[in-house]
Amino acid sequence: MGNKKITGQDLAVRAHDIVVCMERTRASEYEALSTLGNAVRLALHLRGAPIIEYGLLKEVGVHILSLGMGEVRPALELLAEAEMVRLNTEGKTIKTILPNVPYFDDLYGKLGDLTQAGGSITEMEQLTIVLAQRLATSPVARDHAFALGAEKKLVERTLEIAHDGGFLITHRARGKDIIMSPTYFPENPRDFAELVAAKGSSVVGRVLDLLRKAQGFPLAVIEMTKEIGGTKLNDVELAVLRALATGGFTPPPAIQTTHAGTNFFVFGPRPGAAKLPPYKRQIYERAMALVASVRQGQLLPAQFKIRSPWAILNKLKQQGFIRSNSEAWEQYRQVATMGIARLQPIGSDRHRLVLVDTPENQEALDMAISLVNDGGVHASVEDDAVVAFRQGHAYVESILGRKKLVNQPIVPMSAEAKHEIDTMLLTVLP
Amino acid sequence: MRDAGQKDLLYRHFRAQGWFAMVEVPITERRGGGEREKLVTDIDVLALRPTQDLGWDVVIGDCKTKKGESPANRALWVRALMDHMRATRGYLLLRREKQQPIERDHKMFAEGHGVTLLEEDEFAAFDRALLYPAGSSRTPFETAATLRSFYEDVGGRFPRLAPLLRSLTHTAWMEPDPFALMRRLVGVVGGIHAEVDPTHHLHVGIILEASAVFGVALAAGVGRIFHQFLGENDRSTLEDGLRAVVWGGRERYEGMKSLRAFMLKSQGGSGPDLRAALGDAEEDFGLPNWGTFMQLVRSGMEAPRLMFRIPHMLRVIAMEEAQVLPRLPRPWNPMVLKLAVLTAEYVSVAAKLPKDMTSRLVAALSDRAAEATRRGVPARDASQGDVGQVSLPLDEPTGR
Repeated sequence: MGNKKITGQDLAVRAHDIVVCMERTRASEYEALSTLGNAVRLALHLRGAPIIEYGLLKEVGVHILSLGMGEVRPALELLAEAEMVRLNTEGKTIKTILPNVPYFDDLYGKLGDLTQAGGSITEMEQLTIVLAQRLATSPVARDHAFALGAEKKLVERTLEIAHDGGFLITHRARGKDIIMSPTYFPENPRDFAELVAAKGSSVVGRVLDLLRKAQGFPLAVIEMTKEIGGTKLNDVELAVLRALATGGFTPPPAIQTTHAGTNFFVFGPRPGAAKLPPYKRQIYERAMALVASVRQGQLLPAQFKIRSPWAILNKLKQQGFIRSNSEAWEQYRQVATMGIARLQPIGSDRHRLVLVDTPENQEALDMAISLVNDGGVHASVEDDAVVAFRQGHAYVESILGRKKLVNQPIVPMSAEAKHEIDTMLLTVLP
Repeated sequence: MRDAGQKDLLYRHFRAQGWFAMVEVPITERRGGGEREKLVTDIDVLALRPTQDLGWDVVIGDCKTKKGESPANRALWVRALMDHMRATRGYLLLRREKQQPIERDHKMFAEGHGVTLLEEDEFAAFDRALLYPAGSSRTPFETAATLRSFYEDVGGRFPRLAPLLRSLTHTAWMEPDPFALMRRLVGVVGGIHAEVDPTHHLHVGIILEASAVFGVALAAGVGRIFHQFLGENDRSTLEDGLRAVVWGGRERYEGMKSLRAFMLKSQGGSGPDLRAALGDAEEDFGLPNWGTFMQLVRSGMEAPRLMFRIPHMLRVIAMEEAQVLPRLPRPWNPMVLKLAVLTAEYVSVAAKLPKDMTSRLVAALSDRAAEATRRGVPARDASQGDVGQVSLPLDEPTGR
């Protein structure tokens, strides 16, 4: 099934993505996958939490983290097996949970490896993970799912669940069905579908992958050197890159300097596993502007080259300014125009960049740092759940007052399963 | 010990304010720079008071039952002791004849030197005012007498545990550097690992008491790291900083690392085996079970102020487990309890105590967590958050 490259870490990351996307929707075919995804979800929220009573944890798990009623215990047991929590039990009853979720070890890898070693992952779950893994890189033609080596019926059912579960969307472009992950391609799905239909998913996937690792590189430099971060690009890939920079995608920020002219800086899909709310769009644009300005200094300097964009952005975050230099005016003018920072004149031609310290700018700076330092796993946590684990029952009750009762939709069963049940009802039962 | 009653009063008063204390701490000096230490004097009650900026202040308590003693002279003596111990405050409790109260001038003089002069008869009013309204007299946790009896019992019955007892009652209190104290204490506990019997209640008690003292240093260490790294989640960044702090600075750390490599080499290793040994040495060059220690420190950084409540909690549980204090239902704070479990577990594992002892310690603390949650204790108790200026005992009921 082409799953040889699925590591324990991949397995856990994708399982987590899937349970987050599915929210309260459940498919009876997913058991080990759900347990693993739920265990990751619990672990992320339990990190740093105090000793918790089981009843409280269950309430938070079900009402805030969208776990099913019967899913909390198996997820906790997996965490206990991975030594990330300690269960205090009396007989079979769990009394309290002592969370000791590692801060530094690979949480995903450990849980994924344990699940793989348990051998309980079914063929359909494997197929789902392989598909989710592929869709994290790039949208693909629907036909691609049928070329993964699984039975046609299994693939169809997997796609059906994925669609109903909300971790796959389909767009029609150039006469083809293009499937994509709304987690990894939350913005511009139609444009991505068009690009994949025109150029093929492997080409688009490769370019996006390279861009993820080199966010905000200048288009002119890529075109001139025909490479991104040391990896060569062919003409088709360059065409995809131009399409990404000029199509209906996020308009790339531009910087005009006297020594290098006007340059556009291209970005791949935004890191993170959640769709950007519309009100954060402006913050993300500020982050891109910050990245573009440090990339300008790194790759197109007039005289003084920036060696580490990450270090420069971190300095700005920690000390609130970047030391003056003679290239700051042109390099950071766009950043200053957007109100992220101001350029303070020091001497005749030198300027110091001083952060305008607002929560929005701090968030933009964090996003910029994550853009230039990407490669890790990004997981979102529910603030309500984190606080609930620390505050106890009273807080949970106040949250529940604001929420509706749990409503758990179930993915309709497959025609085959329905037929089997009908047959059983007709033949076995009196 | 005619002043035992006075010591008990001071211990209770300090304890009820959330200060961690020890009675009769000896001050020694090496005779002529030689190997043998000579007892110079002792501190009646030595207390550590949590500060607002995540450290400990040293407080000296001195007791005197000799009625003719000049208060001003004794205050000067306490001041000298405070300077020796880098203490920020001194309390001098004196027994006086009714017709011979402490003169006002002497009180003013003492106060000018950071010493509060108190007559035994006025202590109750002083205590009630600072721990309004009932004072510390009925607080249901260990007293100086309980602590003394515990140490005497352990020392009398298990003479081979003497190095640990000496460390807990004496040397640990003389060490100003928290990381040095952690290193040494783990070493001392490790030194008696073969003597430890997990089935004996007094042994469980003494290891919990050792964990309490380790918790003092850990709290200060976490406070220091917190100011530098806040909520750092990058392993290498925190590890690098922590290693340097543990060994008293980067230069010293590099020196110790080279020394260790040299020692390993001089023991006759060579080739791939030596390279592997050196690699391991580098990996582990911090405290024993370095990964677990990192996790413990990082867990503490989630709530660094609560770390200063761990020693008190572990000491009460130590006394309960040793059966010198009755086991009472107490409103334990679940986060402090969790951090206390991780601390005691680390001490036991790092000192290579029998696995049964680790399980025994974890069970003792986890049982209390289960009891506390069964009683429906809220996660935020009344004492949370005001370390250093609380009028309620930390993590224990007031008994009022």
